Amino acid sequence: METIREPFGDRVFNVVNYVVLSLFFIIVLYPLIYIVSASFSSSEAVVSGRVWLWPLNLLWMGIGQCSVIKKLRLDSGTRFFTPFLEH
Amino acid sequence: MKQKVFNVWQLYVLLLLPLIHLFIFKYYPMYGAMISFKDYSAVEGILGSEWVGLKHFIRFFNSHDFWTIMWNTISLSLYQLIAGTPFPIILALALNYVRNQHFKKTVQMVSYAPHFISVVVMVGIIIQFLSPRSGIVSNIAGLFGYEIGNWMGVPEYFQSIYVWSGIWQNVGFSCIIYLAALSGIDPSLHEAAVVDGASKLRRMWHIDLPGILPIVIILLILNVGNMMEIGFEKALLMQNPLNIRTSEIIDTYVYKVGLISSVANFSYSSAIGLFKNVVNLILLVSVNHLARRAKQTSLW
Repeated sequence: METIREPFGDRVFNVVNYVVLSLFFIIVLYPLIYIVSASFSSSEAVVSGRVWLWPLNLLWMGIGQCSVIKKLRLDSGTRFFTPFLEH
Repeated sequence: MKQKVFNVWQLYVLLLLPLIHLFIFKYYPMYGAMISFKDYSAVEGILGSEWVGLKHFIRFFNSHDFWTIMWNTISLSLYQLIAGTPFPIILALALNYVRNQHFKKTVQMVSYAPHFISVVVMVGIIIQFLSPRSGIVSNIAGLFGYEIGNWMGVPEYFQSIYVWSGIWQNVGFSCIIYLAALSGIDPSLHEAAVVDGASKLRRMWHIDLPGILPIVIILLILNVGNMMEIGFEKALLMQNPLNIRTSEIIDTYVYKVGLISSVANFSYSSAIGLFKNVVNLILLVSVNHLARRAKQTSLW
């Protein structure tokens, strides 16, 4: 079966549509990645503004400072979390 | 009639549950709204306190914050309504014309993700991003040789930060309902339009938009009915002494005057809350009336 070729205007529309949606995709995704990266990076790297996309000086400190996990470590008595948190 | 009701009694039992819920959680608490016309004291109780008429309303209207707070509330929610309505529609239309299903699903899934971030974390992200030292915005501005100040402290920027971060967070989720409406449009309309040589933009304008217009109008009416209540938590969390001039809205004011001030004034704050709800009701009814007059869909 022979398909009808899309008119020129529609092909332009398709390209613009994909470009706009890709831009939108990046705008939504970037902050999400950044926040996850920042929470795994050392606080010096975050404060000095060197974290752009991926975690720097990968430490579990950011997560380790989270009070819930600290509490888990203190309360539970197990040593499960300590290998990650000791540094 | 009686026989009819009796034949489908199961349906009435089902209806009873939401009615009981409405009564217990919506109508019964209105009894407490009475304290906005009284000088409420915990010792005397709701019924025992003394009637004072419209004293608290008059006090609110005459307070020197009144016009600032009203203006902040109304302009913020109008801004939110006007800036926030088109984007989910545009996103839904754009996604609707994507043929690559993988691309479509990926974009959709990522766009839903921010909706599930809680308000506190969201405000934390905003503050982190706009921080003048280490924030990503100041980093990017630094690349181009600009220096930005502390945007969270500029009263003029508060509303824009509030509204655009809200759009970022909710655009994906609110476009779901429009996507659902778009998939309900009769495909034969599109086929006929293609045969007649209509471009995609024309099809959007003449088929898709009229097709989802009823949903757009219903959502608009509902949003106008909520105009006086904008996210209380978000405004409170984004407040700081520097931007208080534009960030004080009715809800945060009620919270401060009624609950955390040293002389908690329950009557005063419930009077303000009642006033807010009356304004909401008037807005809802009049917008609905306008929609019906314009021969469009309406709530009732």
